[in-house]
Amino acid sequence: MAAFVLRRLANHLVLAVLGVSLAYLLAAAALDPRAAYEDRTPRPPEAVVDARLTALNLNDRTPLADRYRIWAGDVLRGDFGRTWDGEPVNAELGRRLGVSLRLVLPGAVLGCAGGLLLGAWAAVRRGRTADRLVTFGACLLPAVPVFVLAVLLQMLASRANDALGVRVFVWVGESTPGAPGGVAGLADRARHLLLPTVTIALAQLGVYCRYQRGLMLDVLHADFVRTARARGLRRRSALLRHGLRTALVPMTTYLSYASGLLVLGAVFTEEIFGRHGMGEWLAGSVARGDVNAVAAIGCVAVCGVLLAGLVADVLHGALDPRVRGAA
Amino acid sequence: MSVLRVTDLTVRYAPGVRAVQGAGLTVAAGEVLGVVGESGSGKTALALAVMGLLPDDARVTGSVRLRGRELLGRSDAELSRVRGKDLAMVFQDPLSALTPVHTVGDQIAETVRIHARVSRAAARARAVALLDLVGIPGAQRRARAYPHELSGGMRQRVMIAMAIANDPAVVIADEPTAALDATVQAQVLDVLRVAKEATGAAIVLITHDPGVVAGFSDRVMVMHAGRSVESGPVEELLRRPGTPYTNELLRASSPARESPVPPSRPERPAVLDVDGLVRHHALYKGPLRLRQAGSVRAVDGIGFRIREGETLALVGESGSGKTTTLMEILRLSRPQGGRVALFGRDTATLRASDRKALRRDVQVVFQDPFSSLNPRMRVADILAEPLTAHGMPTSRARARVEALVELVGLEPAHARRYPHALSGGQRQRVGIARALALEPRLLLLDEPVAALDVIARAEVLGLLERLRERLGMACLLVTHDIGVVRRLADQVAVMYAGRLVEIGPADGVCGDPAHPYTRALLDAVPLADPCLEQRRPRVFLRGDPPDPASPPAGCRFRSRCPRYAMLTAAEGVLCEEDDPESRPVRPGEGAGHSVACHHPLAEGESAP
Repeated sequence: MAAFVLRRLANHLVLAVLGVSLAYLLAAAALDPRAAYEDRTPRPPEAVVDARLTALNLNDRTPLADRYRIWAGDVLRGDFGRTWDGEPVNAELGRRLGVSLRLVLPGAVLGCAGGLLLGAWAAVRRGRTADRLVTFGACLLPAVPVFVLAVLLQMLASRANDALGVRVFVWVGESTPGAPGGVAGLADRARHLLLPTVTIALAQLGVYCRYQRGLMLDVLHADFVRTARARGLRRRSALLRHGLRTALVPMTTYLSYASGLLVLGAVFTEEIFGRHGMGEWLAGSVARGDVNAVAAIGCVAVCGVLLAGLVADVLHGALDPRVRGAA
Repeated sequence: MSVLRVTDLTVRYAPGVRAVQGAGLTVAAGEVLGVVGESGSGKTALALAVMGLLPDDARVTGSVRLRGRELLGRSDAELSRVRGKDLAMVFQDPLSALTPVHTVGDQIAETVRIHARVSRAAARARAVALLDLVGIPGAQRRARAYPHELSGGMRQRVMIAMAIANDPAVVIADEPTAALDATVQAQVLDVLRVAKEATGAAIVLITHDPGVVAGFSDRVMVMHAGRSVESGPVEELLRRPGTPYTNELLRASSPARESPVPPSRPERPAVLDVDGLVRHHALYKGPLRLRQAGSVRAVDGIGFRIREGETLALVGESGSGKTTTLMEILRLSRPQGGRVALFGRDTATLRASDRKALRRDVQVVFQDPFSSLNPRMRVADILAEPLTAHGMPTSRARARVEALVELVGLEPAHARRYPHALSGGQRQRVGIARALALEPRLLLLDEPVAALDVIARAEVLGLLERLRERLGMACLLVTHDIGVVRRLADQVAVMYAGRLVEIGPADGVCGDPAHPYTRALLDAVPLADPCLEQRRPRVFLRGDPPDPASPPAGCRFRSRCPRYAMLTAAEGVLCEEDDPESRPVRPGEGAGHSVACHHPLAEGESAP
C-alpha cells in the first residue's frame, strides 16, 4: 500500500505543477489588473500605475515568462504574492479557506453519508413505497438550484421563529457579533451553521442517493450475496457484510472528486448566508483582475482535486483488494 | 431413511411461467443423487427452492422436508438457521460466488461463527483445517488469500470447504464443475467425494452432463421442462434409459463423429502457417513500476500449419495460451517473435489496406454467445454489419442475411429478435452466421460450445460439421474439450504453458497419445457409462499449471507429470535440465505426429 501511495504521489506532483502553472498563465494572460487602477478617480498617472503593478508583479508590460518566473520562485518559497491592493495573498487565503471549510465540511459529510445510506436502503426495498419516496426526493433535490433551496429554507426558518416567538434559527454570518467565547460561543456558531449545513447536505444528498441505489441494485442479486445467505446469514446481514462494501467501491471515485471541488463550489451558499469564503473571493478576484489571488485559488483547486484523487485511490485500495497489486 | 424429501414441488415466477412443475426427489444420508437436464429444465430453480433462496416474486408450493421438518413457508430468520448448517450449497461459478473483498479464510470462518459460538481464533483454525481437507496446499497461507488470487479449481474447493464447514446433512452442488477445465473438474469431483466421506452428508449433484453423474452418483433423476422425467439407480438408468429424452441426452453427451477423418493431403496449399510464434507480456515491479521484472510467457514459440479444408484443434487447459495464439493470428500484424503467414502472405509485411482486405477471409466465433453479441442490435443488423462494413449495398446485404439465417438453421422470424430473446444455442448460431457472412477461407473458433449445455452443444457441433463440409473452409479450433476435438478435428495440437507438447493427426493423438499430458487430458473426460467410467484406469493431474512468469527449468510439465514421478533419479535428470524438443513419435513414418517429451508413452500404453 505504501509503494502504491508513493507512486501515485509522484504522478500527482507532476500533475500539480502543470495544473498550477497553467492556472497562473491563464489568469495572467486573460485578466487585466491595469484596468482596475485606471478606472479610479482621479485617474492616477501612468508611471505610478506602472510602478505599482511592477511592484506587485502584475504589470502586463513585463513579458509573461518573466512574471511567471518571479511568481513561481515566490510560490516555491511558499509565498503567493500580494493582491491588487497590496495585501498578502497567503493571509487572506488562510482566512477564507478556514471559513469555507467550516461552512462546507459538516454539510458535505452529512449529505454524503445520508445519500449513501438512503440509496442503499432504497435499493434493498426496491419497488416498495419507501423506495418510491426516496427516489422521488432524490430526483427532486438535484433539480432545485441551491439558491432556491437556501432561500426556501430561510423562509421556513423565519416562519418557525415567528411561530415560536424565539429566534431559534439564525443564519447570517459565522457567529453573532460580540458573542461570548467558550462553550456558549461554540453553541452560537453551531446554531449559525445549521441552515447552511442542511442546504449543502440536501444539495449533495440527491445525487449520492441515486448513484448508490443503482450500485446497490447490481449487488442485490450478486452470486456472492446469495452464497452468503446460503451459508446462513440473514438477508439483511448478507447485504450489509458482503453487498454494501462491494457496492461502495465504485462510489469512492465520484465521492472524492466531488468533495475536492466542493470548497470552491459553494459560491451561492456563501453569498446567501453571508460568509466570506473561497467561492466569493474567486468571483470577486476574477472581476477585479487580481491575478495572484486567482492563481492562488487555482492552486488550491488543483491540490484539492489531486488530493481527492489520491484519497479515492487509497479508499479504493482499502475497500477492494483486487486493485492493490494491479494498480 | 431419507434426510431430504421433496414432493410435488412447483415454482412459479410471473403468472403462467412455471420453472418447476411438480418435481420430487428423496436422498438418504450418505447417498449421492444426480439431477440431470439441459439448461432451462428447472434444475437450478429446484435447488434454490429447496434452499429458500428464490427471488421474492417466485411462488413455491409443495413440500420440502429436511429430516422430516417442513422447510417451505418458513421465515428468512428460521431458514437462515438451517442454511449453512444442515443444508449447504455449492454454486456453479466460483468466480462470482465468493465475496471479492474478504479473504477466503474469513469467509469460511464466518460460516462457522454464524452457527456456533466459537472464538474468532477457533473459527480461523477450523477454516485452515477445512482448506487442508479439500486439498489446498499451504492452507495456512492460502486462508489469507483473496478469491481473485486463487485459480478456478481452488475457488471451487473453497466453496466446498464452506459448504461442509458445519457438517451439513445435505449438500446441494449446482453445476460445481461447469466452469472448470476437464482436468480440474476431475479434481473437484474427487474433493467432493472426500468431503462426502468426511461428513457423511447426502449430496444432490446438479449437472447438464451425464458424464459427471455417471462416475459419481448412486441414483439419477432426469429433469425436463420442470418435471422429473425418470429416476433410478445410475447403472440401470444410464445403460437402459426409459424415456426418449434421457436417450437423447445421453447421445448428445458422447459426441460421435459423423464424417470420416479425411486423410491429410499435403499437396493442398497451406492456409495458415505459424512458426515460432511468441507473445510475452512484460511485468513491471518497483515503487514506480519502472523496472521490468520478467515477463508472462503466454505463448512461447509454437508452430503449426493448417491446409485448405482442414481443421486443427488447439487443446489445453485454461491459461495454456490457446486464446492468446488465436488473438495473435487475428491481429494480422508482426508478432513479437516468429512468423504468421495467411494464405502464403507474411502478416509482418501487410499494409493497412491489405489487412482490411484479408480480414474478409479470416473470421472468428467467440466463446461466450451471451457477451459477444451487441444486446442493442437485432439479429438481422448483427449479421448485416460485416457485410456493409466491407462495402456491400444494404439491399444485397438483406438478401444475404436471410440466406445466412437459413444456413445456420434459424427461423426467418429470429432475424427480427434481439439476442436476449434467443437461447444460448441460438445465439451461438448467430455468432457462427456472423462469422460466415463474408465467406471466409479460414474460420477461427474460440471454444465455440463451452458455454452451452450438452444438447445445444451437440446441435451446434453438428451444424459446424455440416457447414465445414459444405463450405470447405479451413478451421482453427481452440478448445479444452476433448469431445469437441474428436468430433471436429483433423489435426490436434496440444498446448501446455505456452508450448506445443504434442501435434499430429486427430486419431493418432487422441487414440494413441505419446505425451503424458495428452493422456491425462483424455482421461479427464467423464464418460456417460457408469461401468466403463468406474472401471477404467485414470490418471488425475495434481495441482495447477505452473506460473507462466517463471516456468520450471527443463520440462514445463514436470511439476505435474505422473510419468516423471515414477522415474528413477537418473532418468529424471533429463526432465529437470533439458527443455524437450519436438520430435517425431515414430521416426521414419512421417505422418506428422510429433511430441516434446523425453520419455514419451509407447504405442498402446495407456497408463504411465
